[in-house]
Amino acid sequence: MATVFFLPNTVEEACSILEEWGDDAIITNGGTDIVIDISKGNLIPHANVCIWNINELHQIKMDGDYVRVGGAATYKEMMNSSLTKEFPGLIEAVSQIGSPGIRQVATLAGNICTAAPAADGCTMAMGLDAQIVLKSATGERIVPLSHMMIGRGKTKRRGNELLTAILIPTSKKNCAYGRLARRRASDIAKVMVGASLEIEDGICTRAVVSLGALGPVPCRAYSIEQKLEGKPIRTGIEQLRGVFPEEAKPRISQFKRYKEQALPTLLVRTLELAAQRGGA
Amino acid sequence: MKRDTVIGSSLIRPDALAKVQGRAPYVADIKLEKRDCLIGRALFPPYAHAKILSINTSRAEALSGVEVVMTAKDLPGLNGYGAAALDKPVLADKIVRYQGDPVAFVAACDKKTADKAVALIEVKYEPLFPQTDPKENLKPETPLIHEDHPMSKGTNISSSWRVERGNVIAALSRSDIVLENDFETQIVDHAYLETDSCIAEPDPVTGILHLITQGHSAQLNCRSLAAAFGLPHSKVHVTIPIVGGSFGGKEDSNLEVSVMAGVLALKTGKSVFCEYTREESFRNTGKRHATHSHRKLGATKEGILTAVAADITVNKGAYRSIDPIPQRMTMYGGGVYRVPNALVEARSVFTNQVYGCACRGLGVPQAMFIIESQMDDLARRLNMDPVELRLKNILRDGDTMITGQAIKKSQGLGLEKCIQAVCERIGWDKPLEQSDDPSIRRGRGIATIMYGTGTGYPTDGAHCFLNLQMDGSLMVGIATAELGQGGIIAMTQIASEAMGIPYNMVSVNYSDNHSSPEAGATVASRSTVFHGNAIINGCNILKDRMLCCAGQILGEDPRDLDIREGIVYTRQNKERSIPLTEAIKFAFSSQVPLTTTGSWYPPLNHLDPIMGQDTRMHTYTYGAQAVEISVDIGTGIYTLDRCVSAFDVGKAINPMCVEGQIEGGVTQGIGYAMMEKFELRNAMAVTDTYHTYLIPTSMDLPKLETILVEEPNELGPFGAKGIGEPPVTAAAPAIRNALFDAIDIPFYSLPITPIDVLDAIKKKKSPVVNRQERAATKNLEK
Ligand SMILES: Cc1cc2nc3c(=O)[nH]c(=O)nc-3n(C[C@H](O)[C@H](O)[C@H](O)COP(=O)(O)OP(=O)(O)OC[C@H]3O[C@@H](n4cnc5c(N)ncnc54)[C@H](O)[C@@H]3O)c2cc1C
Repeated sequence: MATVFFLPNTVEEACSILEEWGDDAIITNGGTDIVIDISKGNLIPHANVCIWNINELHQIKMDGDYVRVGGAATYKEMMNSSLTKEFPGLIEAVSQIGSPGIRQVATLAGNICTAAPAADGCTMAMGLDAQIVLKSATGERIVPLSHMMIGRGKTKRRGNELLTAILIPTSKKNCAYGRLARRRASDIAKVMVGASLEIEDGICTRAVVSLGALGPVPCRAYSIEQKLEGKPIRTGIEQLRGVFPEEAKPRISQFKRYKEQALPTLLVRTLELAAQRGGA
Repeated sequence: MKRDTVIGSSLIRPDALAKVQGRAPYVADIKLEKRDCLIGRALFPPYAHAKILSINTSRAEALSGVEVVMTAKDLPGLNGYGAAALDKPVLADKIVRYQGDPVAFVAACDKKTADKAVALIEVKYEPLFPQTDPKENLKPETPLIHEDHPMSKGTNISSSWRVERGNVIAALSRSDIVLENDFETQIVDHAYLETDSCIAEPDPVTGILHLITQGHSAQLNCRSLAAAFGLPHSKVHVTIPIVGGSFGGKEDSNLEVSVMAGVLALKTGKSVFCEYTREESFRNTGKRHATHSHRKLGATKEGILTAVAADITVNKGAYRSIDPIPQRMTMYGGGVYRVPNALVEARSVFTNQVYGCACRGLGVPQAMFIIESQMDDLARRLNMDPVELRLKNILRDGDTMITGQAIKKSQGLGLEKCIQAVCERIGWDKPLEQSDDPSIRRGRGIATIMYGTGTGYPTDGAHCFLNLQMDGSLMVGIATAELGQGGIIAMTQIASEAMGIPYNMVSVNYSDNHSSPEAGATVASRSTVFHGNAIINGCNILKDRMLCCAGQILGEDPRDLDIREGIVYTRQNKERSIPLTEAIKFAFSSQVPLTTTGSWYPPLNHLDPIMGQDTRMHTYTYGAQAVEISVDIGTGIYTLDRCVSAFDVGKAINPMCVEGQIEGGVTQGIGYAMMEKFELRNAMAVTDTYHTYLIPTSMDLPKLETILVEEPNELGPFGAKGIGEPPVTAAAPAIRNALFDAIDIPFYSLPITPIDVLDAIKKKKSPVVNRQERAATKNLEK
């Protein structure tokens, strides 16, 4: 079977191709996830829609109370943008992904849509309570990232939809990211924690905490958020020492014990860093 | 005349620019130039151990674009090949002994078609229990992995060795301290960049089969394969272009693709290209052997070593491949120390998994990890500084190794200098600065090593062809493989100096079995010394001839003449000189041959095979490495902050290449220590991509600090000793010892990953304290 290739230049063009091909089309962004599947023969698409030529999707710009990261913005572009640089945790997350070569082409949108368990960008974006903009020829909808993933490799995105932007609330700049891996580069982390804290007079008014590599897809640690909110942040973090979040469900593997042993430490450290950035 | 010398000068390697610019042709690049080359692919079994009940190739054969499908019944020669024993089947016939045994070969017009055809071959197997535990396989009731092995009859032992000296039992019983530990080392892959590949071209006129492939010796490739092709050695022409990394692996691992390409080429009469995918290279090709050692070390309370007893079992995998591992692990069983009593026994045992082959260090990385780790345990027990303990025991001029070999200063003995150099550079005497971060513990560790140059076999020697040209240039035919180590430039520099001509007048024709004689393989850290000495010998022969001719022209006694920079001159009166070309022309017209063979071999190794007493290596390279690490006790992640290495190389012919060898080797040693592990489940590879098989990145390394020590080897070319393998051997114990220092936890198996470190910290009953804190508490107790 032959694959039909498309290289649209606009979002509208891309959406109309997707409308026509639906689930038979795949979208190639940086290609660092999907091309592996294609080259291994696990995936033989009828149509391949490559979106890297759509200039507007590379943009990172302000959008009301959000920073709008375009659906084809690469990690390199995020690391260079003064807007995303305001989120130190986000930069911590994306600047540690893969290697310079990967970051040159790979995108946050791709990281989210792959819906893999150990996704750095997705985990941090979830810790920022990011919102996802999905657009089709017939309309646009916004889905909170925390509700976007429905299982390993599965998202709420419909076949005719393009992820056009990730919206990051500007209120989440006190953020931090922690990851534990066996080597310093090009290694999938075994434990990931993203956190953003809103602090007023030393009191945590809003906490968003996310976990990666601790379940089928990145998830929120709501139980931890609850333990933090409404308390002096220092006290809140202090009571979390040694706590293993109930949302973390590492599967049975040779790394399970490590995840159990290391997660409480990384959680507290990441929260401390975010709190420090929040001036507490 | 100025005594300018290229020896000791960091001349740029001829391959450097071509490699950086992507113009250096590797086998797969050469294939691009070939038209009408068939692609060969193999079918591998889904089991590590199984009986083959039937094979049906008809659907594959019917596929359009398929040229031929071969099974064991279609082979042109012996169904066996190998570097040391012809024990690896070209195509599995009745049984598969590991996951990399091919069952059928396909040659087709392109890879896609070949892969499709491979998928169409139907094989019925009867799965057998994969026998992966070497200890189990030693038991007499365990079935044999090889019913009829050419070398190992009636046993699962591939090779074994023992070294016995003095009276170990008595010495251990008299020792004040006896340590007893078990050590495990893991399988690692070479992780070479260029996967295994070969172009086989049958010559319809001469009947020669030409293999363009990788290897460490074109002659060894030929010898290992000729019987499988049913051809005399003279009709197997092997050329080895520059190799994209090997580290011992391609001494024989790439024979797998060569034999496949060769038999397909003979069958079809056409050129065939075979190349492993990365996954196939990981799954099928040889690895560094996993080992288990039980070791006792005895010492007096003053810290003088008294005895060592060790029992070592090596997991051989399915085939013999290169297997002096038991021999090496026993001969180095006493480390760099004087140990008067020793009993070290080792054996390698066949199992149903990927075979162990040569892997940079050939058993010595394993041996040094064990020995040097236990030295630090001893230092701790004695409450003695690890360096002080080492200095009390290291081999000095006239001391004997446990093999009975006396170590001589004249062979170059820079061990103490190496230790002093690294200690000085790292500031061993000063307390290590600790971190302000309460979760960080810092530690320091050291390891010392030795490594012989050459294989130590009586057959070990080297020969080359030299061909002086009318214009005063020199062609050198030498079987050095250019594996990235800088072999070509080293040979060039040596020939230039020995012949007395500018280095750009030397041309080295490397690794072609039809244009150079046997020189032994580019292995065992031997090429610079062995091949270099052979070149010097040949140059001396040619030089003598040319000096005789020049003497006649100049009317001088040839004994008063010498050659520098292509000029023959009189030593007493430098003005009396002629160009070397004049002498060459004179020789040519006087029927004096301009060609010769150069040869070199070390003194004979007198061997007592019962007690393992011998004088195996004519010289040893020594080294020391000190490292500083920071351990995060909350996550187990540790950082190598500093890594200082000193190696006594005798003489660095090209210091930049030597440093390159050291930095590369140290990096592999760091990977061995910190992360590399080839894992199998039910004898089937799990870590068969770089995604799962981790090697260090530049981000994992500190700036590597390298010190060259030069204690000349009287038998080496300009004093040189080998440096290919020694650098890989010290990192693992040095890092292990630094961890012991930092967190007070001794590790006994490799690798030591953050996962192991955190687990050990969590299991530890007492708080994690470093050396200074321990010392402080000791003082308080006092
Ligand atoms: C060597 C290497 C190292 C890596 N290291 C890391 C790492 O450290 N951490 C990490 O998290 N990941 C890592 N990855 C995985 C990968 O790089 C990331 O997940 C990356 O973010 C994927 O982005 P991409 O643009 O390349 O996605 P692609 O491969 O192009 O796409 C991925 C999936 O998302 C879909 N998709 C992409 N964009 C859109 C869109 N705009 N709208 C709708 N669907 C879309 C695609 O259809 C596809 O299903 C690594 C990958 C490699 C090859």
